[in-house]
Amino acid sequence: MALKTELFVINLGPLHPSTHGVFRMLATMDGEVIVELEPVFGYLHRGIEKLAENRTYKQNIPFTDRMDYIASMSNELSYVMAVEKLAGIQVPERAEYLRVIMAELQRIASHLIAVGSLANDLGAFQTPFLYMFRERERILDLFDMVCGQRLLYNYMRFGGVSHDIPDEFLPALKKLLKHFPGFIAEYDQLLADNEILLARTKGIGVLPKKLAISSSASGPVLRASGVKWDIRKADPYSVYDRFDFDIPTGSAGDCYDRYRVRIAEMYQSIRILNQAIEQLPSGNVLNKVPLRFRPPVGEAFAHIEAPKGELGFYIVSDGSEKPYRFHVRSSILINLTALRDMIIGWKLADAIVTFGSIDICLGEVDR
Amino acid sequence: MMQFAPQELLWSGNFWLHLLLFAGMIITFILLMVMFFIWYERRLIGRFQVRLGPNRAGPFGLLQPVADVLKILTKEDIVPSKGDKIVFWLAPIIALAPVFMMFAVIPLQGNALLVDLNIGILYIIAVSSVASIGIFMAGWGSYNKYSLIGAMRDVAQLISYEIPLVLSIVGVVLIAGSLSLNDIVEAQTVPFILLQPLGFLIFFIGSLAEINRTPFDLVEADSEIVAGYNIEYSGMKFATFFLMEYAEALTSSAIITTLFLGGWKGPFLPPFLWFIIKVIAVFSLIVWVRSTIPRFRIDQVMAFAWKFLLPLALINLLLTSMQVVFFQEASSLVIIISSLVIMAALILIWSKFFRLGGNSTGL
Amino acid sequence: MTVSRRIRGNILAWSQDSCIGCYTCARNCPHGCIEIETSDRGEKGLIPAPCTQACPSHVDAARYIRCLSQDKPDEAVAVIREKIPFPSVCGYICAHSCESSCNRSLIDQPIAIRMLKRFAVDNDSGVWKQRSKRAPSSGKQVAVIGAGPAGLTAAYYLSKLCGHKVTVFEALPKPGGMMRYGIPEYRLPDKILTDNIREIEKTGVKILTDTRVDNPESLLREDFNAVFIAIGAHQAIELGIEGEDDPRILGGIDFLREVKLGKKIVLGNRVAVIGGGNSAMDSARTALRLGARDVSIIYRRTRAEMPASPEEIEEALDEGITILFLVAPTRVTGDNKCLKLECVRMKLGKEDASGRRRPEPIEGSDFVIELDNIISAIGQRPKLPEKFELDTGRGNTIQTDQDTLATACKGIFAGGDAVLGPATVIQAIAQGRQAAISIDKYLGGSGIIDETLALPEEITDRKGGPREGLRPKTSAIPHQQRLDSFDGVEIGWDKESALAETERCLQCDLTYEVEKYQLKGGSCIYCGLCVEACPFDALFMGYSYERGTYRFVEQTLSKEELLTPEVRKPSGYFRPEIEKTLPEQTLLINRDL
Repeated sequence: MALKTELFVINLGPLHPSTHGVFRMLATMDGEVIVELEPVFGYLHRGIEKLAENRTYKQNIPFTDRMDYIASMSNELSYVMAVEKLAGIQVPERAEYLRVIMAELQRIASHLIAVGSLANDLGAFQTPFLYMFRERERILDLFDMVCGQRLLYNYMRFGGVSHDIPDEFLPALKKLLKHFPGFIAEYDQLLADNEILLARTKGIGVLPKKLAISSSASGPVLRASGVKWDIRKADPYSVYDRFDFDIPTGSAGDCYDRYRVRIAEMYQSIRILNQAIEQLPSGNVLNKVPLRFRPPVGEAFAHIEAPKGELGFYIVSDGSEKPYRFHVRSSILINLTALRDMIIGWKLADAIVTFGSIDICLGEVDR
Repeated sequence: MMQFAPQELLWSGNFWLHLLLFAGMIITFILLMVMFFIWYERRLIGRFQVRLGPNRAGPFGLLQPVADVLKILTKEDIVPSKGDKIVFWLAPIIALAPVFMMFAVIPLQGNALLVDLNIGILYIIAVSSVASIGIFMAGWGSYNKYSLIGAMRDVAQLISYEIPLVLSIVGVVLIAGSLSLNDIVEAQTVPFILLQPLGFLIFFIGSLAEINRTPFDLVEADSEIVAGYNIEYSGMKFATFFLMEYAEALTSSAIITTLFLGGWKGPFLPPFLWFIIKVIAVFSLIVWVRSTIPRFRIDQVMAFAWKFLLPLALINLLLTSMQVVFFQEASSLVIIISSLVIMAALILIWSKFFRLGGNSTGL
Repeated sequence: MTVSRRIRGNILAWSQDSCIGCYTCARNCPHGCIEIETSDRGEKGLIPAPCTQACPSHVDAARYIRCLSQDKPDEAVAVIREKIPFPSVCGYICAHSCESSCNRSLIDQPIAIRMLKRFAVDNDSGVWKQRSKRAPSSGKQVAVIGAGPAGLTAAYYLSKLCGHKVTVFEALPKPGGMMRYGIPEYRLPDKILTDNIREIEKTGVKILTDTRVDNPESLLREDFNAVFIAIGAHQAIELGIEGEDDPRILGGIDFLREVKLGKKIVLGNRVAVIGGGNSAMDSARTALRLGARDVSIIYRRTRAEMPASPEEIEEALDEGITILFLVAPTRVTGDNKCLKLECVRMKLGKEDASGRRRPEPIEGSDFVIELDNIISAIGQRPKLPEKFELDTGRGNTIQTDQDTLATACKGIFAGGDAVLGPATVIQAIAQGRQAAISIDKYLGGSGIIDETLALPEEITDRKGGPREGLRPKTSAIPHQQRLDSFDGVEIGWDKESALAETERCLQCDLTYEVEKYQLKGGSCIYCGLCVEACPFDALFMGYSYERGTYRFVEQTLSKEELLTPEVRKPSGYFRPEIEKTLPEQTLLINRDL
């Protein structure tokens, strides 16, 4: 005689240790297995898009920091690129290189968190997480050196960056880049040779290639599914066309591939950084733009390959000192749309890992 | 069944006084050790995680557990309004009591134990399972889905791991020829870890599952079900669970020490100290595992028990029996080497057959 | 095992000495967390404002804007009159270097200083005349050659404040020089200029028009004790291309002069102006008013490099003139019907000495434009009569001593465009002032030509910072009227607009004691935008960090210990050089550690 069983709904979040913020998943469970999932977001909604319409263009730069606070530099870069496109502001070459250096350092820092928190979601009691944080700290030290902040930098400006790097920055960066591949290799070995980690991530939370494309996913999530798509190559911005680097892709589209793609991307970022340091020209880093400048009436969209995917800003100007519309094409929010399909049919523990492997930051999802 | 009689005691004092005094000593010992373990685990994990761990309260942060206890005790005691209140109240007590009870038969040094039961190890196995009832009661009484999942996982895990655990103990019992822990220690001229390496491994893994430690901490799996069975507990009741967890870790370490590491035996130092040193060593191993290994999934946990540990435990039992029956006279060196070789071979062969699969579960 | 740890703290420092309480920082704080209170109890003072320093003649713009804000245009004109004798001319056509250095331009747009000046002179009742004094006669005579801005300014001051008898010789029929013959009527109406010149004549300056001086030394031999040569730069530079001597090709400055002289000039329908300066714009717009319907400007670089003032380019485009950028003429051929101008397209190459990118021709991009007339306005140079016998330098300019403007010939001074090459009116006026000083000194005077025309100022309290927003709109006369006549294009402001504009001024010259400057508790995010916003470098942000490695050593540092100089290391963030110069009463606003 079969046991009489009943489905039940479990509320993962908004206050849950593994939702990387305040995300909520309404999971209908059959025992340990999830049969239906409804993602609910908006708990960190601060109305940044609306707030931005009431602030001058420049005052909005610190606001973009507060979206994906794990990768503030990338947010700023995307925003200032959009406004520069709108107003036709030229950027000095040195500033472009500095931007690339900051964006790539930020990518490494963000991927370190993604990889570390994946291990955390697997239940490895923070140890890999803290090792990743230790390495990330070295990068934050560099950011601290250039702009005095560790998380919310406010470094990019329309027409360049707010100020030049201090003298001790480049030697410190070179030292970091010399040692970094070793660190990544070591951690990769420690994690990827772990039987439990393999068992928990391989074949879990598969995002098929077709679904990845049709759900408009981007970033490592898309590339892990085997699509070779990277804005840095597909629509080169800044000075990315001057660097030689590869786009790592996965094949299965599972959690393990997403992990591998991130590890491989860190190596590629180091390659870009090494080339950028070599090519770094001297000169001015900021074309002065008035504090309350008014871009001409019009609209502009600029997108970049942020650590978590394609991050775009769509700015509409009505000719005043404040943007008429400030829209964000959030990489994570769109990556999250495939979450339900990835999780259904898996166990609760797998859901957590799959969710973690998307690498989200609620600051950007909800804005 | 309980065959302790006053005349069998070696100590010639009053029976009740003896019982009271020694019970008090053991409880004090457990509490002190738990306090130490809390500090020690946090410091050790701190080292594993390139940080310092608690270092503000007292010298080297030694007073941190005191601060923790004070904090926990002053918290508001919350009882879920829809919960089963009696079960909710009873659960911590039922979970904690067996852990203390187990220590009654563990020899802290030669003959220094509350009662030298001749079925000592059987008693431990019997009593230790009761703690799981407490955990299940907590999960049930909380009226919370997370805690219910945790409790269910605990029961499933306990039932699975009890079997290889007991089977690995049988090997030790066969060699020692006694169920009394005192006798088992006395029998260890060579620590049983060397004679029974496979048994030790299975027992150690089983213990981790039994006390819900990483990688088998699915019961409280904080990244999945937040805190599992104790999610609704606070204040004194939570402190009881907290105490229970560390006391369980202490008891497990003590049992492993007794069964496999020669208990209180050791040169130079007083036996009591040897016992504590070995317990801390085993506990360090547990902490090491906790700080490095990710968690299994529930189906993987079950598969691991039934497909990996159980067959190996059975084979181990068979081999030990053969050793006891046929090779009683063989020198211990030969037995040690052959045991290690057999263990290595078995694990390698089994690893080929058994993989921790990650397939979608239906639908 | 080594553990790296860091000690850090952000510091926002504010210097009371530099702060003028302009509220720019508070306005630009994204969180609105800066609180400022100014006090009228404390000391007030005046320092030179950047606009005043930027003006070649050091007209105190900040002060006359304040006069206007108090609704006193007479006082404003008096303030301007203290430095220049051509307030109206400057109000209409000044190149306003003051505006480019205006601190308000860091925020949004600079203050429209020229428009405010125009408002002042348009509403002047002449109060300054009652306060002006004439110096007693010194008995010396000075000859000034050229009645342009430089010459007339020197004549005015030499006559009025030094007491010399001045005679101005002018070759053209009317005085004014470039102001009259280089600037079209629609920008500077003749009446305005004539009024200003009349004031100069009232001081006893004798202007002899239609009088050409061929030899300055002969003047010295007559009764004059000193001669000031300010003949300007009236000769157009040739294009230097083949076929240039066609009569249908005119020099820009000659064209403008002949229009002003009232000569009949017949232009065809298709006119091209070559060049990118102000005179090219003037020529093109004048051609339009003379009946040419298809006027284009040919310039070999891009708009960013154009030397003409942006407003003029804007107005020219507005009137329907097309500008061909990155095009250079190579050859002119002509038949009876029309001129054929062969052009080549250019691209910008490396930067040259002037910081502009040098245009280079693109091979094979030649094309031909059919035209009726060509006006070449690529620059001017002074045209010195042969008997002047003075040293000349680059572009045929007269060589003088930089400070005294004295030429190698004793008693002869030179200034204006004749020395500078084509420059602005206000620069010429500054040269005239300079010449007046040195000529007076040469003639035994004190060389002091400063006068006090405005009443002493009473400084009132600063109330709540400047107004937000942009400058008021400037209107112009309708299109058709512009094409049909030489009426003034720009319409001056009404009182309302002028007052609104004065409220935007930061009043950089006023120093106030700022009573309270603080951050609202906890809301500062240390983004540093206030530091960037401050036009006066009164804010600076620093941070400190220290990285140490240690081996199982644990230590606690108190907040005081954390902030000691030993553990703080200044780094590249936000102008660390200012930290050293911060005065002692600098307020350090520390972030909680």
